[in-house]
Amino acid sequence: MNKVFLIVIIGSFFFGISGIIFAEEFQEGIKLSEGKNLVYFSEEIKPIYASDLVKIYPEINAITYYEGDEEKGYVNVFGGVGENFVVMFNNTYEITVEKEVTLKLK
Amino acid sequence: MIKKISLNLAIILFILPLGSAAHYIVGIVENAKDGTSANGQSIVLWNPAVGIQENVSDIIGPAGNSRTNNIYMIDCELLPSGCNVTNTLSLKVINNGDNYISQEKNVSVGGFGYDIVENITLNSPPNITLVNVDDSITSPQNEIDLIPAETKEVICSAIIYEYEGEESLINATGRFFDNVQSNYDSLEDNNEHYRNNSCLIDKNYGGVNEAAVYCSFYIWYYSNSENWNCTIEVTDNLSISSRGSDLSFINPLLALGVESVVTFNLTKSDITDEAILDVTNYGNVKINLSLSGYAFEQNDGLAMNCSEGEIRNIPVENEKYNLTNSNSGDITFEEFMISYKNLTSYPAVNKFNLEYRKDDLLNEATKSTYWRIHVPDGITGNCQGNIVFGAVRAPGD
Repeated sequence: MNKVFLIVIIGSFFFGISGIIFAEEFQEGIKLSEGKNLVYFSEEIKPIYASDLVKIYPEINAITYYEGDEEKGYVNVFGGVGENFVVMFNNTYEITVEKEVTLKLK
Repeated sequence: MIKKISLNLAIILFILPLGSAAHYIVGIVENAKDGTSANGQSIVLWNPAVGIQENVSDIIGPAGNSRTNNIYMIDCELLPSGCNVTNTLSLKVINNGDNYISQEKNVSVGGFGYDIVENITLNSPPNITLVNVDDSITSPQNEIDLIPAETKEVICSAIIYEYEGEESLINATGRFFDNVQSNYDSLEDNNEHYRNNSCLIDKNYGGVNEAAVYCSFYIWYYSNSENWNCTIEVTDNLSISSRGSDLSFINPLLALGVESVVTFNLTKSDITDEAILDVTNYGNVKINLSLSGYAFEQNDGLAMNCSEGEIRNIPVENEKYNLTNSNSGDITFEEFMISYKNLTSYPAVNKFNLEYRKDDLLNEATKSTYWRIHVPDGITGNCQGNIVFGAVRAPGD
């Protein structure tokens, strides 16, 4: 847990992310700030497709997931475009929201 | 404890400049007006301030990042120089080899997760529906008759359908070439390849999407007798070109030229000095010579008619020629008989093998012929006669 935490912190410095969140710290939900948020789901959450997530939370503009060197993105435009990957725990996602929103995924 | 650290970090990170790991540029590419799908085409994104050499690309449609028909999705942060909120980026569909591209569009990078680009329409290449090449003599069709020693105008025309409207057509060129000895990319040569780089585009032709193109070529008499190809290329305002072609046959042209008057000088003996008559091939095939002579009318058995003297006619056999070698200076009667061949009243075909012209700058298709006349006793005054030169196609041409 501490190792992952360190990686995410260092990564966020490089990317200049406006928010960094550890999901386990928000038992009542994951609060995302307006703009880009780097979210690490450290606790088990119910897997959900990116398309379903943006349907539930239309405030989400885009979700990006890095699988190794490969970037996968899903954008909430034109009914949803991009790779419809599964959002699950133990992964880090960049989630951009147009206004503050709290995710409740448990 | 961890919670405190993360909250402190969050405060620090909120004040960092807003860059990101991903910022998507998305948009729609509409199918070409000729029905060609935009799916599968490549689109590139670049920062004009940096140059197109640094770019990121995507494939439009399901095979690309968007996984969606007619849509592309590019993360501008993948540009080597990244992208910032202040940037204006450019996009265009590039040519995959099928000539379907698009105009450039610009998009300003915003502060959220994506930006939408104004719709792009895939450009259709000009469609050449009909090409025709012929000379002014339209019957028989697709045959061109050259003119001896001159040029002949050949018109190559085409009908164009331009899906983006006839005003999109900006240039038309034509090439007319021997389809056997030459090709579209060969160099200009009067025997086998002609070019017109500014053909006429008639936008008054047809509807708003139609135009006619006319390319004139002035074809020299020594152009090869072969099937010739006229290829017209039209270019639209996105520099996309289409070509169409038609074939026509250039007929063989048998033609020659000689000086109209030659003077035979009688100085010492009764055999004239050698007169030289240069024969020029003014056609497009190798020729032999048919020769005959007369004084008053054809087949009169005479070479010349004279103004004075007891005998006023010179028999045709007294006029002789050599088509290969000169025998200048004074010669005996025996030498005259051996070295020269009798002219006849009827056309006699002689091997001459005079090739047609191949040099654009210098007319080398000329050979000399050598003539003498044995003047019988009793002839005085001036004599006049006619030699008829005819061109016969030489074997092996």
